Amino acid sequence: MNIENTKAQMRKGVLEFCILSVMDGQDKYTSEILDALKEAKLLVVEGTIYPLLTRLKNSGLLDYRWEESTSGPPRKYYSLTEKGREFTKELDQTWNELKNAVQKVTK
Amino acid sequence: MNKTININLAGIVFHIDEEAFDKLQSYLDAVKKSLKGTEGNEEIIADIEARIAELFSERIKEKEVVTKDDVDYIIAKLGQPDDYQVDDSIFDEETTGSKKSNKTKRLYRDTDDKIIGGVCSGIGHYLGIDPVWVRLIFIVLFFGGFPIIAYLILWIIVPEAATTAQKLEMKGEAANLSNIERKVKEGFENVKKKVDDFDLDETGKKVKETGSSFFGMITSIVGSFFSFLGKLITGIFAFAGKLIGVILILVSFAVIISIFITFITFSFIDVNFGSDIAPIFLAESFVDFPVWLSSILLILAIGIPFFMLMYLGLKILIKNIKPMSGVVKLSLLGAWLLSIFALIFISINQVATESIRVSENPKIEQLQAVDTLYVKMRTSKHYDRVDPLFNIDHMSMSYDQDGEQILFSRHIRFDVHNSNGANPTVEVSRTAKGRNYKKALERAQKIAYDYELTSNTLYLNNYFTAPTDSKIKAQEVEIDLYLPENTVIQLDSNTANYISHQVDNNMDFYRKDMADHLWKMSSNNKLECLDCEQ
Repeated sequence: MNIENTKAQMRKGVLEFCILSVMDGQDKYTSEILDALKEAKLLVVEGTIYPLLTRLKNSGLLDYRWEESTSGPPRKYYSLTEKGREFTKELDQTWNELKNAVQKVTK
Repeated sequence: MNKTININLAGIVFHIDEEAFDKLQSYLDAVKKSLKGTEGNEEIIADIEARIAELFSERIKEKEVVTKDDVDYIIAKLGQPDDYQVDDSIFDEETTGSKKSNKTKRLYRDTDDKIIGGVCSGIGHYLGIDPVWVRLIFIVLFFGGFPIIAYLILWIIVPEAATTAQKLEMKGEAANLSNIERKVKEGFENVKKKVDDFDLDETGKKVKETGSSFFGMITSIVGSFFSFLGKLITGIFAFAGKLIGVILILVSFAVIISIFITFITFSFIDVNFGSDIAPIFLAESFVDFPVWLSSILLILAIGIPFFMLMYLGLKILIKNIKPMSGVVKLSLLGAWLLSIFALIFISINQVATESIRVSENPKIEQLQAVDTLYVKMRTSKHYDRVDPLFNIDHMSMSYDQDGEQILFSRHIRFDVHNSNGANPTVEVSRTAKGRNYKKALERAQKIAYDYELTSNTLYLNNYFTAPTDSKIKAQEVEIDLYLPENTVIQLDSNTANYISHQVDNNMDFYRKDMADHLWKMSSNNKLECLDCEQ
């Protein structure tokens, strides 16, 4: 058993939920999503996020549009779809349950 | 001073210095490889490139050029290629084994577990079986000879797993930092284990532990038998490898040395002593190109492959032999191909110079009508003193009366025919080959041949000569005797070697058997023997 692996697994498990939550109520482009996740120390390296975003988009939870940027390449703005909002709501509920459960067990 | 390259990332142009470019490219290649088989990977790559472009633009602001530091920063921020892989357990229903294909195995030679060149163990890793089986197959097929060539080729073309990343790739594990670290640790532990294995007590205890039950005992016996067998095979291979190395070195060394000795005798002696050695003289008379050029080409054509074999043999025996640089390898290959082509050209040219065979119009001389004609060969006291050791196409080298070099041959044939009622005649025709009709004819006319006719005896010279600049081009002299019916011909014993195979006779004698007999010309163009025992 490798502690780093376990930690990484835990983080990865909630990563999708967090990505979706970051976008809830407000459209974000990739760098903003990254900054938010990094600030929360959910992400060590950025690499992981790209395949995840593509998957979430491909399964219809996210949508995106291009917007020109003044200081760099065009930005990909992601937004939650209706399905994504439902999905996030459900995950939120599950997270709360999980949080309570973990707290109960670890007390 | 550094060279810079212009690149286009997500539509933005960056100047990037060469070192940084190489690093960035190999990073992106590794990421692509890591994402191979992942759904929507092209889009992901595009996103990553866009992100890199964004980060570059942020960092570049004041300066002009993207440097290695910037690329290092990007890699630290984005993560190792393997960090891009998503744990598929998150997407249970969507993924069906797409991740497996990310960890592509590659064929390498495993030099950590090598007996000769690590080819077999590399194949073993590649196929996921124990190298011993691969070796066994190679040994079984060894007697067919093919695996030797196959092995040598594999040895040359399959790269050695030199870096830890390559070793992981060879064994089918993805090359990321944690695996590499684990591998290095494993390496240390292996060495430690090897040292520990010398502990005999430990081994003995193991045997005792496993031998506690009957079944365990059997297993341990079988196990040790197989490990013995494995060691034996390994030993045989190690021995065979060394043997192959030694044989390669000896054989190629012998060939190279003999090539050089031949070269020296053929060329340097020639230079120093002026074409006095018959073989070199003959070679020069035969080949239209300078002999020194042809011999250098031959040395290269034969020597280079043997030199490579010798190098291979040395590499087998001596582990730390310096690898040949690409330039050396390429120039050797170039020289070899060049010599081969040149030799082919020379050979074709050689064949072309013999493309036509021309006989000049025969010299016809009337003979006196006699009852019995004697045919004798006339030898030359001068030329008989020279005994040619070598010849090409019946032609050898000699010296004329003035001591000048001359081409000399005994390629003379005579044939006997019925003159169909006409007076007896002798026809002498000289023949040679050449690039075209005119040259062949000229060459034929340069043949010096003589004979003598007395009242009842025909003396034929048993040799002819040609000037050295004629070169050896299948020169020959043919004598046709036309005799009326019932003429008797006595073939002297010394004609034995010069009788044509076409002479028809009632005894069915072939060539030299006809000599030393009396023959009568019959009506059907056949010679009838008068003094043979029936």
